[in-house]
Parts: sequence; structure tokens; C-alpha cells
Amino acid sequence: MRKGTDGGAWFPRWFWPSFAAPATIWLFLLFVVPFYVVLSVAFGTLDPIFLTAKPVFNPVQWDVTAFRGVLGNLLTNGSIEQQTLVRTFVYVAIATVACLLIGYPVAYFIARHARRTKAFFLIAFIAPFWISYMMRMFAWVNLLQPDGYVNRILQFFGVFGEPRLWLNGKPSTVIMGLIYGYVPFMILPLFGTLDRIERSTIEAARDLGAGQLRTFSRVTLPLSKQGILAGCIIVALPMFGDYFTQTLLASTRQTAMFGNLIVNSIETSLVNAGAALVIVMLLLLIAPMLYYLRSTNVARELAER
Amino acid sequence: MSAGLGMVRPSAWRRFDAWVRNPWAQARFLWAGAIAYVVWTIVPVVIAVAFSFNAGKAQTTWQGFSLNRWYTQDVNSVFQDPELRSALAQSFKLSALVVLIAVPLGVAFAIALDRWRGRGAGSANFVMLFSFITPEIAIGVGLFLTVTKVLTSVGLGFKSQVLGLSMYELAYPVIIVRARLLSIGKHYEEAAMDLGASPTRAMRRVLLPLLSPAILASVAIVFASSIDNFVISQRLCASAACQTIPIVIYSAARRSPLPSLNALASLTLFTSTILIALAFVAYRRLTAGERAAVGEA
Amino acid sequence: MSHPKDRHPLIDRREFMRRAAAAGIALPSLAAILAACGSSDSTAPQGGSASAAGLQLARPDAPVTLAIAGDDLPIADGLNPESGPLKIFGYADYIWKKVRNQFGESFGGVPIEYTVFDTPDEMVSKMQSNGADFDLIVTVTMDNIGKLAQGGLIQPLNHSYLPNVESNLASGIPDFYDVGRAYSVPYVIFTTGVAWRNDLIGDDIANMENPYDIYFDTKYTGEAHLLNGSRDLLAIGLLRKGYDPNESDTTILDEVKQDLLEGADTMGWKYDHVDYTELSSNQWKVHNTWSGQMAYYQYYLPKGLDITALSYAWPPQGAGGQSGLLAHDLFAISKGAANPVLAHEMINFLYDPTNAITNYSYEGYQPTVASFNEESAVKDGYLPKSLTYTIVTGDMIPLGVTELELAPAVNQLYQQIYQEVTGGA
Repeated sequence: MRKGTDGGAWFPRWFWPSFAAPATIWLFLLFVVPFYVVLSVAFGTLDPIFLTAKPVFNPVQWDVTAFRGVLGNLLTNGSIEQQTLVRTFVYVAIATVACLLIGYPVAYFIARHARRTKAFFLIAFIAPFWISYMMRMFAWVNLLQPDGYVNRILQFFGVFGEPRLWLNGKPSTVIMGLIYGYVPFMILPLFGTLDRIERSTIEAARDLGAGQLRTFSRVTLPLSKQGILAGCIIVALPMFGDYFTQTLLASTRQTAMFGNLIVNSIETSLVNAGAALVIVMLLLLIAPMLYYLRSTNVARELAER
Repeated sequence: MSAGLGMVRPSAWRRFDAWVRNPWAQARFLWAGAIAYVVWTIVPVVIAVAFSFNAGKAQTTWQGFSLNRWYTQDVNSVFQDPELRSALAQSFKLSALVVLIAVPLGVAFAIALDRWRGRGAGSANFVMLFSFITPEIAIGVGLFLTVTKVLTSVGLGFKSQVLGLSMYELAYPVIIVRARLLSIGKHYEEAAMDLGASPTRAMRRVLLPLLSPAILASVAIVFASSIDNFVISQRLCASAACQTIPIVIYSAARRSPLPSLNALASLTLFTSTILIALAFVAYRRLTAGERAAVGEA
Repeated sequence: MSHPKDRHPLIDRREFMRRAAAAGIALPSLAAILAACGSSDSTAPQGGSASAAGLQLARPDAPVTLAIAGDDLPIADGLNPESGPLKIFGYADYIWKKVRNQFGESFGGVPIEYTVFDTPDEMVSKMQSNGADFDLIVTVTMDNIGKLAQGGLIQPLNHSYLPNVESNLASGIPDFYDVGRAYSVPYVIFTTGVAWRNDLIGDDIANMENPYDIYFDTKYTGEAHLLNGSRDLLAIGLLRKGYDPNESDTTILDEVKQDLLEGADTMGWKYDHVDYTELSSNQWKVHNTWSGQMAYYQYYLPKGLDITALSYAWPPQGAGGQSGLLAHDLFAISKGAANPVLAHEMINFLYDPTNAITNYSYEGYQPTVASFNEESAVKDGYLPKSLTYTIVTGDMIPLGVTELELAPAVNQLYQQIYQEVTGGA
């Protein structure tokens, strides 16, 4: 009866499923159901007096007005929906590329060159993970005030005569905030792949006469492609839904992101449109999300930390 | 970031310059880059922590050292202001409950996924991983609409925060414990059963102790990540009673930030740091034997 | 570190697609379950019982008596106060902490929990989802009282708990939105106008031909802030063009929207009502604000800035004579309140002449109590002489216009325009 190949053989059929049941119920009730409720609100109606959402759960009765309105607006030049969507794409693209440009050398350095200091750098660059995101942004809010340290340093060096109003709706400030907030999430997967490249592979390339740059471009870079993609996706996904960074560092129409539109809609009479915006966002992100799930083995990525 | 350069003496500067320009060691650029990166990430936070000890109320000008913002006479200090005190308590309560729910559910789920090759397992795992990478705002909005429109008996507030967050954090223990299960394999348990232990006994006496480092790491990560959670806790909070520290920081940063806010933020930072450090040390202890064994092999 | 060989994906592509599809198929079956849940929800006491057609829009010339339905009675007379905690819902800093504590002490140490909302729209939305979490609502704007009462989110008041209100309510405060004050009692009265830093701005805004133009003056790009909330923002656009702040004509609203969009793009407005806290970092030169805010300014001035550097103008009193907003905010008690007696007592407490003036001394929002008058407020040192312009006098009341309840469809249009102008920021 004991078959070493299948651990389940010693146990009744219901035994292992019962282990999975509580978490499955949790995910169903608190992830799948809410997802469906968002659909029911996007295709639902409004309470006639309070103008709050009245979800319609039966797909047959779904009302597509709000959803069609959102799609129409997204395709209308100059609409707030299109503006914020395009802006969000631009911000996320710039910030993701910048995260990569900052994160890659850092990850490369720790994986390749930091020998005795590896532990120090690992701790230093993992630190932002458990320092509250809000606190890190809040720190910048104070540094960027008109009389904050950033302006003082810049004035000290004579870069600007007058203090700059960094927090009054500058796209550069928001993008900087996004980069600052998310770059640690880029470094982790990059470090994972770079650290896994065998030293011998690189030594072989060097022995065959490739220079440092050539070794990098022909061996290291191709081998770390998956880490780069994973890093970009894992950084871009939450950035796309970020609204608080913009609110803290700018909070103007000129810098509003897609997430701001969603959050603002949800607690007003625009809730149906807000839910539709959530669905649009997920539809836009579904391809990178599925790619990420398929291409990376999340369990192992984390196991090697 | 380059504030110090102007003050460096010329000869020292030349030496530094020569060191950077040395063509035989490109890694020095990387060195400089990595140091600059660490400075860039850490210094703003260090300044924020430092300002929690500011004697004055300013957030931008240093006015001397004091513990006012932490506990002394000031009515706005962390230990005097009821709003900050309540946020502190609320954050700890929420994170502790989330750990108590998410870790056991996640550990059981991970064991089941490892042992049970049924059809349901794959789909459940897929949904779990999907929840892990869905932008938080979508989950937050979904939970908000669910508890206000369907599960109205739960309603917005502490209950829904615990439920929502424990779902969102579920993925960490699952991923960590599964990785551990993969690396320890099944032979210890099988050996125990070959020696006559019942399956449940083998699990209790062999599997769980082997999993304890992973469980410990899960506890630390879930706690640290819940105490910092903003989007879901804010979406599900309707009244002052359920405001957590990130929510207070967020709303105060837009209103009237006082240094006591820095003190509050520093407190979570210290807690998370200590917790992660303890978990790390304990993890090393618990796995010390295995690493030694691998080293000998 | 694992061996490279172990690094095959955990699941292959076909398996992956199959699981994704399975998850998709599971969804529709949810519909039926949720539909069942949802239908039971409509019988819940959480509002939505009155129809849109039944919502009466109160106007000064068309007063509304909010009916007290059969099962919707005020609490009985002579009950003992509960043990709390008393849960208050209002704008930030709207009842002075010290006064709240005094109230708590005089009722045997009752704790008080104060929850803040940002805009009246948010207040209505939270009341609808979580009304029972609160006892006393401090900032019901006049345009929202009708829907809260008719939608069953607030309870009728029992005036026998409010003797101070009977004896001390200022005369001349209208009640056309709730004739007989069955559901509400006024709290504070204020105007909405322009605050500016006269040390940084040369313009004499009070005597501009149209003071509302200041918000559109590109000299102040990035340094002009407006109040948040759909009604106050739209009011700027409407009043600037001489329209009614309760306009429902879509052509006019569209014209105003275009103006506001243009303004938002050229001016980079920010939207908030925390003007006082922004003084220390010089974030604005011009701020659309409420007269009551001006008194806070004195507590938030940074070193080197004097209160006289701040000016306030209410357009009806200026050279241009445009309309301006004048309103009073209301107290109401939530339908599901756990501490209705305490909530009544709090209202009564704030109508005590001493408590009212103590609260005012910090709060700056003028209480609607008869015992309050301008001279004594200044003479007794509750208000610096330089801020007397923040006081609303009886002769100002007829000059002001008020934001009133809108038909739901119009209200939605206002919120739509607000979102387009602010970008949800």
C-alpha cells in the first residue's frame, strides 16, 4: 500500500483537499466574488436618491451604458479618461525604464562585485521593502517643500536662484516618486537572475577572448533577459494602479493618473464608470499579468532570497 | 546627494578622481553607483526619522534634539494624541490578526498544493497567484463594493480590513512554504512513517518542525507587509476607529504634518526592522544544521 | 541556489490556459448566488426607499417639511445618556478638541471618536454605506439634508433634549429646507470668498471688477487653490459668469465646464480646504475659502508672517457686487446611532453660550447662537480685531446665495464636471 512516489496514498482522498479548502474559500469570497461585484457595478445602475451603486448581478439584465460611456470617452481625444490613461502609460513607461537603468547596475554590482560587502548591500537594498511606502513618500514631501533640503542644496550650489515649487504639479516630481517607490522591486528579480549565472560561463567567455563589454552584451545580458522582463512587469503593474504617489507629490489635473480617476469615481455618482475603469485597467494589464505568471516561477524566485 | 564634494580637500579629491578614472577597474563606477543608490534610498528616510526628534514643529528646519514628539508634554506626541495612539494600536491589531489568519491558511494551502495533485489544486493556485499580482487598487475597489453592497453585515471597518488583507497577504506564506517543501522533499516524512509513525504524527513531528523556518519567515513578512498596507486598509476604512498608520500619514501629509507623525512612522519602521532581523536570526538558527550538512557534502 | 535544470516553469502553457478557462467558467455561476444576496440587500434599512421623483427639492420660495414617517420616530423623552463612545462625523477640526473633551468630562468621561470626511459628496456616500457607524453628523450641508432625511439615513430630533437650542438659536436663520427643524439644527454660519496674501499680491481683490477672475489670473499659476467638492468648485465657475450656483441648464453648465477646464489647464489649481496648514510652506497666494477658516490662520502662521498679511473678500461686498455664497452647516443624528441621547446632548452642549464662545475662540466658525455678537467677541478677545471681517452679520444674510439640493441627475452632472476638471486628483 505504501508507494513512495505519491505522498497522497497514505491519506484518505478528502485529506489534502481539506487542507486547501479554507484558503480556497477565502480566495473565492474575497477575491473572486469582489471581482464579480465590480462587474455587476460596472454594468449596474445607480440608487435614485443617493446616487450610489446599485449592482445588477444577473448578466442578462446588465446595462452597458456606463461601460460604453467609458469606452467612448477613452477613444475621444482630450477626454479626461484618455488624458489620464495616456499620461499613466507615459509615467509608468518612463519610471519602469528608469528603474531598470538604476536597478540593473546595482543588481549587477551586488551579484558580481560586492564580495565581502554583499551582506551589507543586500540589507541596504532590501531595506525599502519593510520601510513603509507612505513614510518614504512622506520623507520626500518634506524634502521637496519650498524651504526643504532639496531647494536649499540646489540654491546653495546656485542651480536655481529662487526655490522651485516641486510639489505644485510637476510631472518630473511624480515620476521621481514612482521611481523611488518601486525601484527595489526591480532589483530583487534582477539580482535573482544575475546571481544565478554561473561564474564559469562568464569565465569561459573571457577565456575565449571576449572583452568585458562583449562578455556583458553577449553573455550576461541575454542570460538575464527573463529577470529584466519579470522586473519590468512586477514594477509596472502596481505603478499602473498607483494613485497615492501622485496625490502626495502633486495632486493636480495635469498630473492625475488613472488610479486617481478610479478612486475619485468610486465614492461619487460616477461609481459605475469607476468600476468600468477598473475592468478596463485589468483588461489592459491582463497580458503582462498572464505572461508573468507563466514565465516566472514565483515560488522559486522567492525561495532563493 | 553631492553635497559633500565641495568640502573635500583638493588632494583628496584628486585621489578620488584618479580612483574613479582608473581604467583597469570598471567596477569602481559600479561601486560608486551602488553607494549613490544606497544613499539615495536610505538618506530621505534617515532624515525623516531624525526629524521625529526635532525640538521645533518644523518639518524642514532642524531646531535641536528633543523627545517631545515621542512622549513628553506635547499634546501632539505619539503617546498623547489619541488619534496617533489609536492608529498605532489599530495597525498592530490589524497586522497581528492578519498574521493569525493568513499564515495558517497559507501554510495549509501550500502543503495541500504540494501533496494533492487534484484538478482543483491547480485552479486554486492560479487564482492565488493572480491575486498576488493584481494591482491593489482593483482588489481594494472590489472589496469596497462587496462589503458595501453584498456583505453588508460585514460593512466597512476593522472586520472588512482583516478579511480583505488576510486574503491579499495569503500568497506570501503559500509561496514561501511551497519553496521550502520543494527543497526538503518527502523522504524525512516517509522515513518517519516507515519507522511506524502514523501519517498525522509524521506530519506533526517531522514536517511541521522542518517547515518552521518558512513559517517564521512568513509571519515576519506578512506582519511587515500588513503594517505598511495602505490601499486596501484605506478603501475599507470608513471611520476614525479603523485608521492605521499609513492612512494617518497619508491624510496628515496633505494637511498639517507635525514631527509626531515622523515619530509614528519611525515606530513602524523600528518594529518591522526588529521583526525582520529576529526572523532572519531565527531562520539562520533553525536552518544552521542543514547548511552545515550541505557544506560538508 | 537551485540547479538550472530545476528551473522549468511550474506549469506549462496548455495547463495554464486550461486553468485560466476554468476560473472563467466558475464566474457566471456566482451571478445567481450574488443576485440572491443582493435582493435581500434591497430590504435592508440602508436608504434607497424613496424614489427620485419623491425627492422634494427645497428652495427658499418652496419650503419643505420633512415628514416623520410612522416607524421613524424620534427617541423617547427623558432617557439617560449612553456610555459612548460618542462617534462624530465632520470636517477636520470642526469642533475644538478641548470642547469635545469638556463634553466628555461632563458626561462621566465619555470617550469621543471624531471621523473626518473631505467633501460633502464623500459624506453622503459614507453615510449611505456606514451611517450607523456614526452618532452625530456635524457638517450636513443645506443641499444634503433633504436626501439624508427622505432616504432614511438620519433620525428626527427630539427637541426636549435641546433646551439650549430653543432658548439660544439666533433669529433670522432660515429653515426652508427643514421647516420646523424636525431633522436638523444649524451649527455655524459662514461665507465663501477669496483669501489672499496681501504681502505677495498687489491686486486689491475686494475691489476688482470681478473678484472671481483672480482664480484665472495666470500671474498666480500654481499658486491658486480652490475648495474641493463638486458644489464649491462649480460655484466658482457659475458665480463668475453671474449664474445661479444651483443652475441645472446643461448649456450653461457646459459653458462653465469649458471655462473651468481652461482654468485648470492654465492655472494648475489645487483643490483642498486646508489652506491654514499650507501657510507655513507658502503653498498658495490665493485660496478660495470659507470665512471661518480665517480664524485658524492665526494659529498656523510661520515665523515672520503676520495675520494682517492675509486678506479676505466676499464678492457681494466688493465693487463688482457679484453674488457670493453664504450658508450654515447643520447638525443631524444618524438613523442607526448607538448613542442618540449623547448626540442630542452634544448639540445642546454646543448651544450653551459659554461653550459656544469657547468653541468659537479656536474654531473661528461663527456659531448660530443668539448670545454671539461681534462686539463682545472682539472685546472679550475671542477674535483679533483684524479678523472682524470674518463675522457674518444679519444684514449680510439677504446678500448671499446658497447651494441647494439638486435633482439627482443634475447632481451627477456636477460630479462629472468636477471629475473632469480636477482629474480626480
